[in-house]
Amino acid sequence: MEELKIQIPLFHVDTQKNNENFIMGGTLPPSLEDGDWAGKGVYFWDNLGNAQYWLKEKNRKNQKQKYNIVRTYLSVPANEVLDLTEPTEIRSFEESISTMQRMKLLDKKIGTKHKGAIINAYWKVLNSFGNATLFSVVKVIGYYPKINNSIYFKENDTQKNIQPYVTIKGKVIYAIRDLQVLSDNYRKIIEVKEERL
Amino acid sequence: MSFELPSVTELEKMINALSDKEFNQIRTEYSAEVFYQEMKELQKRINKTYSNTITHNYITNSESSLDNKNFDSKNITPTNVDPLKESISTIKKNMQFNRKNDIFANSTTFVSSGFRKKTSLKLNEKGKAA
Repeated sequence: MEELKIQIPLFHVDTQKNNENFIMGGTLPPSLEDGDWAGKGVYFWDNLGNAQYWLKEKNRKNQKQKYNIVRTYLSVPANEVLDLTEPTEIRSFEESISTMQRMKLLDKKIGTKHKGAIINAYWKVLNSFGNATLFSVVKVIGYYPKINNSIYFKENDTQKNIQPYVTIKGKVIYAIRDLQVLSDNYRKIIEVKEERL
Repeated sequence: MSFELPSVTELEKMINALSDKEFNQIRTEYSAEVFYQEMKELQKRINKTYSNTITHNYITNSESSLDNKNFDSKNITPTNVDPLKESISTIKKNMQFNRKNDIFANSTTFVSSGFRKKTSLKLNEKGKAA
C-alpha cells in the first residue's frame, strides 16, 4: 500500500539570524517555553496571514530584536502526525494520559491542563520503547479570542453561546519535533510589506 | 489517517518496561515543565497586580504633588523592584538551565558549581565584580 503523506507549505516567525541560518540548511531553535501548547518543537503556521499576525506580535513585544518570516515545505508520512484536531485521536490521547496517571508516571493532582508537558512525557515513553512508532509532528488548533478584525466573520451573541459558526479565531499550528520532515528546497524568507502587518 | 496511538494495554506494557531511572526521569521532567508553566502563570498574575499597584501609586503621587510647582507627571518612573518578580526570573533561568541538562539529574552539580562561581567573584576598588 502506498504511504500516505501530508505535504503542505508552513510558515515560521523567528529572528532574522535564525531564519537565515535555517534557509542555509541549518536548524531552528526549538521552543522550550511553550510547554502548555503542543510540547517541544519548532512552531509553524499553516498560512502566511497567521504568520504575519505573529510577526506583528513579536515585533510589538520585543522591539529591539529583528524578526521575519520563513517559508518551508512539510513532507511527512501521515502516521507521524499526532493530530490533536481530530476527535478520535484526542480520545485515544486522553486514554493514554489516564493510563499514565493511573500508573503514576504523571501526577493526578496536576490535572490535564499542561498539554505540552503531557505530550512531551508521552513522547518520552514511546521513545524509550525501542520499536514503537514515534510522532515527529503535533498538529493543534490555537484559539485567539481577542482576534476580531473581520467584518464578515464577527460572531454575534447568539452564535457565541449555542450555534456552530465560521470563525477566524482558530489557528492551525504545527509543532515540528524533527526538522528533517521539512524540505530544504523550499526554504525562503518571505518579505512582508509594512502595510500588511 | 494520522498517528496511531498505542492501545491502553500496549502503553501499560511500555510503562512497565521502563527502568526506574527512565521512569523517574520522565516524571521529573514532566514535573519540571509543569512547575515552569505554573511559574509563568504566577508571573503573569504578579505582573498584573504589580502594574495595578504602580497605577495606584501614580494617582497617589499626582494628588500629593498638586502643590508642587516642579512636579512633572512625565517624569514619574517606578523605581522599586518587585522582589517576587526578580526571584521568579531567577527560577526561570535555573529551570532553563536544568531543562537543558536533564533537569534534576545535575541539580546538585549546578547548585555547587553556581555557589563556587559566586564565592570566587573578585571585587575591584569600587566594589564591583572584576
